[in-house]
Amino acid sequence: MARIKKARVGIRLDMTPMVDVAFLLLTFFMSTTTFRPPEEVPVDIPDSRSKLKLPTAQVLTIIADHQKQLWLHIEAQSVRQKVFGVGYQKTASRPVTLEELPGFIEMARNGFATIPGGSSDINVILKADRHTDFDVIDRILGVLRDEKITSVHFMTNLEM
Amino acid sequence: MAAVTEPRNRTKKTRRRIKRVGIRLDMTPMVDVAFLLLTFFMVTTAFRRPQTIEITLPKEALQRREIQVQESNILQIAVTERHELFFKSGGDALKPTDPNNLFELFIDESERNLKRNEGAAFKDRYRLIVVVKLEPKCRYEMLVHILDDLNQAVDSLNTRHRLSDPREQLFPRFTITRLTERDPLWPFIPRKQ
Repeated sequence: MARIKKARVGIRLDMTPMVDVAFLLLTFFMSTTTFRPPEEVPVDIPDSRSKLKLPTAQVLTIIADHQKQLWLHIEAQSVRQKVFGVGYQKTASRPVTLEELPGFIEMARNGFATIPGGSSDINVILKADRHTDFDVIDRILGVLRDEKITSVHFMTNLEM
Repeated sequence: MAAVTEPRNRTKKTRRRIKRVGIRLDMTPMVDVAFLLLTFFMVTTAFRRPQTIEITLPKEALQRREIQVQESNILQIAVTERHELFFKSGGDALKPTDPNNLFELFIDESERNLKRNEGAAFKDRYRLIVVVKLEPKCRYEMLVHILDDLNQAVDSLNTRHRLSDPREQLFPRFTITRLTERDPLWPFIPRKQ
């Protein structure tokens, strides 16, 4: 007895709705994307439930990585050119020591004051690794206090 | 790629119409590219902007001046380098605590403080000052955790007492210092060998 062969049925799937959705999502993501700025210094910042947003203007970021090395980060390129010395023109961050910090803060203040719409009133963000010793943080806060900066932002990730 | 299907059943009787040609386009490559781009944008998009905890540092002039504070309004939190937590409320003895209990601790202490200080305005009744003392080898993470819990506790107090007016709202008051051997709390902290 010959077996009856099953007829092979060619399936044709209408992919139009899927493509529609895909393109919709694509357009959405393309228009809403702000690219993640390349992280020059990898820092694992701590979590918090705070809903306060980081300031975006006049920002000077002090980075403390897990190896206790300090970095200075300025997003605004015109200010960066004035503050960072020769050799650090292409990067947004440069390494600093605790002793150099007051001088750089002063320069950053002057730098932000000269750009249009700016003032010497700077927002200081502390972006420290969660494994950094409190010792380092305390020393930075001490420097900021001496520089008469009375408000500091601790950068944190929203806890899930 | 694209195929044109011939219309069937053509008879000579019918009038010559403009030929309707069914076009079938192979969309596979387009969909491939679309999905590739979609995945790329989904991965590179930074939705989560980092948040912040704002702290206010004392002005230099204020720092030098000694301020008299009632002991009963002070809550001290001590953190050792092994990340053991202790707290001392007013004149009470030093007690051990746990990072997960901090939120409740802040709430309890705040409520006690509000009850103790019977004053005119609600805001003036809240006089609690949290002194956070950390050993220099302590992780920064611990400090953020304590400040976060304190902020959350005060937020929850504001909702609990229905203080929606920003001028009436309570705000956390704290100082951050090092925990050293010269600290009065030091001898009371148990040392494990």
